[in-house]
Amino acid sequence: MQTVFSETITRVGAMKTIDTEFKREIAACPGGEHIMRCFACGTCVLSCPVSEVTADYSPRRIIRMILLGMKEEVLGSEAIWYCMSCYRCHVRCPQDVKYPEIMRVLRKLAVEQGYVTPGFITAVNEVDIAAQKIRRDMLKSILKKRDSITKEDIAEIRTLSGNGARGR
Amino acid sequence: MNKRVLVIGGGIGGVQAGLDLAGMGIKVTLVEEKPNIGGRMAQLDKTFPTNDCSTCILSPKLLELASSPDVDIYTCASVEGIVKTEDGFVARIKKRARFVDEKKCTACGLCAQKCPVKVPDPFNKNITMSKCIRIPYAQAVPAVYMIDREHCLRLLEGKCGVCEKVCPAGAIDYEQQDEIKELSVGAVIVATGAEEFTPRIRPEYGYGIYENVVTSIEYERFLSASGPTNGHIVRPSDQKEPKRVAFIQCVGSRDVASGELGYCSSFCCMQATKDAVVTCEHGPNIRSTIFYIDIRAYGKDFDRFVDRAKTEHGVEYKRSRISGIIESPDTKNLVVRYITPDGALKDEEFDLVVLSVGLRMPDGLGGLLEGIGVKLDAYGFCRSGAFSPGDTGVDGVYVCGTVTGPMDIPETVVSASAAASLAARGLVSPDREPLGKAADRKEPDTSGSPIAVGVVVCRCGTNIASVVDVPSVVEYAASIPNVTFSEELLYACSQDSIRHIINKIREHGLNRVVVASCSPRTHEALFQKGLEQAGLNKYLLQMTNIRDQCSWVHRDTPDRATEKAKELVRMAVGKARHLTPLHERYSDVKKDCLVIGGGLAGMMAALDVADNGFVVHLIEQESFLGGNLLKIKSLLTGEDVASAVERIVKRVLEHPKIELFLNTDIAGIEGYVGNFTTKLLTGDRETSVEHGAVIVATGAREHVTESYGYRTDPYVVTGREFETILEKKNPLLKYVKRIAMIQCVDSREGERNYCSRVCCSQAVKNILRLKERYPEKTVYVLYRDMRTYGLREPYYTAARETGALFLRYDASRKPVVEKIEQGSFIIDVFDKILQETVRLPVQLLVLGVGIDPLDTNDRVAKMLKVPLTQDGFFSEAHVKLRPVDFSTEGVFVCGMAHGPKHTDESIAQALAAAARALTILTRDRIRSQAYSASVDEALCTGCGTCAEVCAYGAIEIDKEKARVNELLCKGCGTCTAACFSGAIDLSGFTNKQIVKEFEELFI
Amino acid sequence: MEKKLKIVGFLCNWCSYAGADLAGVSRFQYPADIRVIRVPCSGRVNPLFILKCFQEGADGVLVSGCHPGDCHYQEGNYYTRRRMMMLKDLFCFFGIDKRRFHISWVSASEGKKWADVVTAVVEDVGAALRGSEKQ
Repeated sequence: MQTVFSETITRVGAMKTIDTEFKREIAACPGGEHIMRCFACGTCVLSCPVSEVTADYSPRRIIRMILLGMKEEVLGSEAIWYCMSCYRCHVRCPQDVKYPEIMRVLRKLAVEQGYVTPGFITAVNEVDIAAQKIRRDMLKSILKKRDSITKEDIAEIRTLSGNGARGR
Repeated sequence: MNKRVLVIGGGIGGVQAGLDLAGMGIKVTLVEEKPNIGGRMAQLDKTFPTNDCSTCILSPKLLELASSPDVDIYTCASVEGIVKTEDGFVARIKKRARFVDEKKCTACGLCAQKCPVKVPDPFNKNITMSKCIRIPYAQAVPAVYMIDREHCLRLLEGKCGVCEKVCPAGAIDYEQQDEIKELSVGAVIVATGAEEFTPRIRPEYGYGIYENVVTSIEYERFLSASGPTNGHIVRPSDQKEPKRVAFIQCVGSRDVASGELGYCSSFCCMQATKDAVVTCEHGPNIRSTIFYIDIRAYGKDFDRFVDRAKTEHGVEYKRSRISGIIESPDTKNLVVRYITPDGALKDEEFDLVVLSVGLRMPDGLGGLLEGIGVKLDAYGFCRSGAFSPGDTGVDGVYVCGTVTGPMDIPETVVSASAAASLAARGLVSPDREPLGKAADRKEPDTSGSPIAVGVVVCRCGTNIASVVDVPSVVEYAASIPNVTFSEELLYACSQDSIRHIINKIREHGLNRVVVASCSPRTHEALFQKGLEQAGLNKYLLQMTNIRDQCSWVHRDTPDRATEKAKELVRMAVGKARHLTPLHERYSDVKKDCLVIGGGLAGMMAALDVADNGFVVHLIEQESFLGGNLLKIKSLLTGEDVASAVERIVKRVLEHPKIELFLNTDIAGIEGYVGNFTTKLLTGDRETSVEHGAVIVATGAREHVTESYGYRTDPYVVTGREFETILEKKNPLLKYVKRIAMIQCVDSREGERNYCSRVCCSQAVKNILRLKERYPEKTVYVLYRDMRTYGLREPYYTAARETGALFLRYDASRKPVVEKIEQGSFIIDVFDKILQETVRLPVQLLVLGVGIDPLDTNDRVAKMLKVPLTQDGFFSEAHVKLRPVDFSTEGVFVCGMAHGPKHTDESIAQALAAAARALTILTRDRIRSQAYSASVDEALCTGCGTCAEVCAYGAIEIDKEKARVNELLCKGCGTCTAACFSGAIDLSGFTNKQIVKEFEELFI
Repeated sequence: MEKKLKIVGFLCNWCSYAGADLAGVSRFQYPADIRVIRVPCSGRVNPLFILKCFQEGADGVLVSGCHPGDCHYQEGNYYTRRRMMMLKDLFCFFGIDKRRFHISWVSASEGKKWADVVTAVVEDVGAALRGSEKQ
């Protein structure tokens, strides 16, 4: 008996075609070698400065989506542009998954397959540089009164990140 | 052939190997680097899952080894090199100077009191200071001080010399030199152990930077009553009791990125659970939280222990590997960020963080082992083949314990007994000195002299003394009639205390001794030995339990506990006055062994006993040998099973010392250790065999499930069936492209609330075998916790690397399988990571169903008078230190009859059971117990009531008088309570003794 | 404050004594009114011991053994059960409040149960004695 079987994995509500080869495609690229080792411990999420201010951003989730084969959703997602390549997750990951390198691969694929324009990559790079500038300037301003920081100062900084609730 | 065995390492593994070898009459030299034996176990506070006090269960073994005439112990010593010779090995042993004469030191401690040099105490992980001359801990064996040559002023600069001046025994010897000894031995057992991993490799946890981050072994010392804080939990920064303690698991373990530590350390999940429970017990306001990846509670009763930790003690388990720890600079509290079950990030503050560090191979051992040709694995462990545990590939050199990979105490003890049985081959001597010679020794006759009772009251560190006012009990004891001596001791069970008691017996001419301490169940034998050494009959001892049944359970009413302790002492003295010397009886040992079960464990145990020269009767119900192993195709580690089984079965069939009974049932077992008679039923034919020991290796069976449509659809199979499908290159594999493995089916919940230990590894193995040939197939594994413990973890990593996807589910939200048609299913499973239900289309379901005990266990257990666990597996005498023994002497257990286990574990246990049986079979005579019924013929009316109630057929009515067969009598006393005329009495528990014991309460 | 009681406990070595040890190891707390006498088997307990205890002035007596069926000596505790039930039936005849005499089955793994048994026995014996004082 031969059953015709659809190559789909569906999430309840939204049906997407899956590509079980997607993870191997990533694994074949330099930096993606260890992606399948992930045992979903969550160290990456807890290390991530972006997850700290973005409730729905989770490196672990992206990896899981790749492993499940949700190629379209991953390449079309906003999430793959959030990584700021600080490599904290990479250093702390017990399985040496190299998440930032995987993001590099995904971004390249996203451009190649027309999910974003090449100019978008340039814009993202500029955002990163600008963000560093803002950080440096803010640091400079608090360094000026480093011996007299008050609770109010801290509260003021916190409002920038979403009123102290880590913007989550 | 040289008859001596060299055991390297004096931890629990080396100690057990030494005891077993000595038990078989083989001479042993044990070499230990540290100044005392006992190893890491001596540093532990309690042991899981029973929370037994580690020292309490370890001490008796250490003392037994130290007092064995067949064992030489070299402490402060190391093996520098081993050379193979024609009939064995020559070992070069370096014995470092202690600067204290082992024979003269009485461990009085004056030297340490007066020593002016303070140094960090290595036994307490350098948390506290100790003196330059010291003993590691109170119960250390041998109880001999040692001078720390790195810091001693006299040795370094020629100044001081205080210890020599104050030592009353003249034991200090600054001139002592290191010695090199050459020793010829017939075999070597390497039991050097592993060391704990340094958490500095993961600096993000702040160990060594933040004061309140400690390792699990440091924390054990904080918990220990004899530790640096006397058992009070305090945090290092401010010595205050922490209210919130976090345990962080897998620090270094399961971490391929930070080094070579890609394995799991096996015991840390349970150690953390135990420490968390003990922490919660320290006060109602202390909270413990465990952060983990998978909870690996794979051992017997471990899952129940974890459940109790959650429900009874409120320990919180949070599934989240921790990325880093941040200290609050003002409070020195530690902030731990974790992921909640719904995926949110949360910060929680703790007062103390415990890092669960695993084990690694110490550097430097490799040289010694590789020098004699022993190969080590990538991690530096000396791993044996799955079918040859303990083997090193070099004849005559065997390994046990954590040097072979991370493991817990019972596995270490099992592997040690197994190594002992391997090392014993060819060394077991037929002409060993028959036991019982010592019993012919004359004891002084004290019957005429006035009763002189000595009372010793133990403080048990703070265990007793923190509740019971020990000095007042001692004072009270002195006032009881016939008590001529009474005193208190810090640890009555320590070697120096025993020596002290012996001296006092002689000095004061005591002829009865009362010890008020812990339970006679664990310590009576120890004190009895002391009495013997003092020349008293050992049955002139009476213990009373003022710890387990007094100080520990009346913590809140110290006055009443003290009053109770006084009365208990008085009652014990009341009985002691009427104690009389008793003598054990000796009986000959039948040299054959009965092994029940012809599966892997039974065959291996039979072969081992037979290889040591004893006849084995091997009983198997079925018409073939091999048991469950016949249904397994390959092992996780890659070994082919079929050829191994064939080899083993062939050896059994051809072995001249093995008598095989197939299609055979046991009709009945009678007798006692050394002297069993078993009736066998083969078809209609009844045979009877006589033997000295029994090994139970009846096995277990795969669970039969009705879940997920098993049995109604050929596309729903068990893990073991899938293994066969893989092996046979079943056409089904061509069609099936997507496979789901569902783990923990019917396990770890409800009636079957235990882990079957093997199913996770089986799933991993099946994935690896499948992917070797069909890398393109999609595999989903739906699991609750992946329990690929120890050196199995790298295989789990390899399975993930093949692309198999592991999705975790909660017991409360099991996967839902919808059958579309035969061979087509949709599984809805809630993915914790996506926080959504995913629908997986699969064509084959593979169920991890686990292992059930046999229904016949009950019958076998009743015949042998041994207990079963709640789950129906055989229950060993002690989960930690007597893993293959039963309380009933002469009966042993191995393999899956004891609980689910892997092939290599079953074999190790089989060899261990064989070793334990050999400690009996190698003797010509064994001792039977002294407590026995006896009849006063003048009072006996010959009514026969006693004979009727005796369960052992030990009483016969002969010429109208009852007569007791002392060898059959088990000393239960049921007959004595039944006798109408008071003619029959039980020695050790006579009517008079019991009445006098309670009468004292009302004086 | 509650009256201090003197209750004699006869415990078999293999189950109940081990269970009482386990209660200690597990630190289950219970009242300090019990004094334990260790016997090999509950079947060793002669009913006369119990009467003698009451005669000497015991406030209560507890006999505890392995669960029926689990006796280390196979069937000793079945005899205990029969003997002690019979004895208990005779108590009103002797004029002793039945609540002062208890029988329990506590296994080596039932530390908690041992603590509960002692607590209940102490309460019962206390109640019985208070009752008789009122009369």
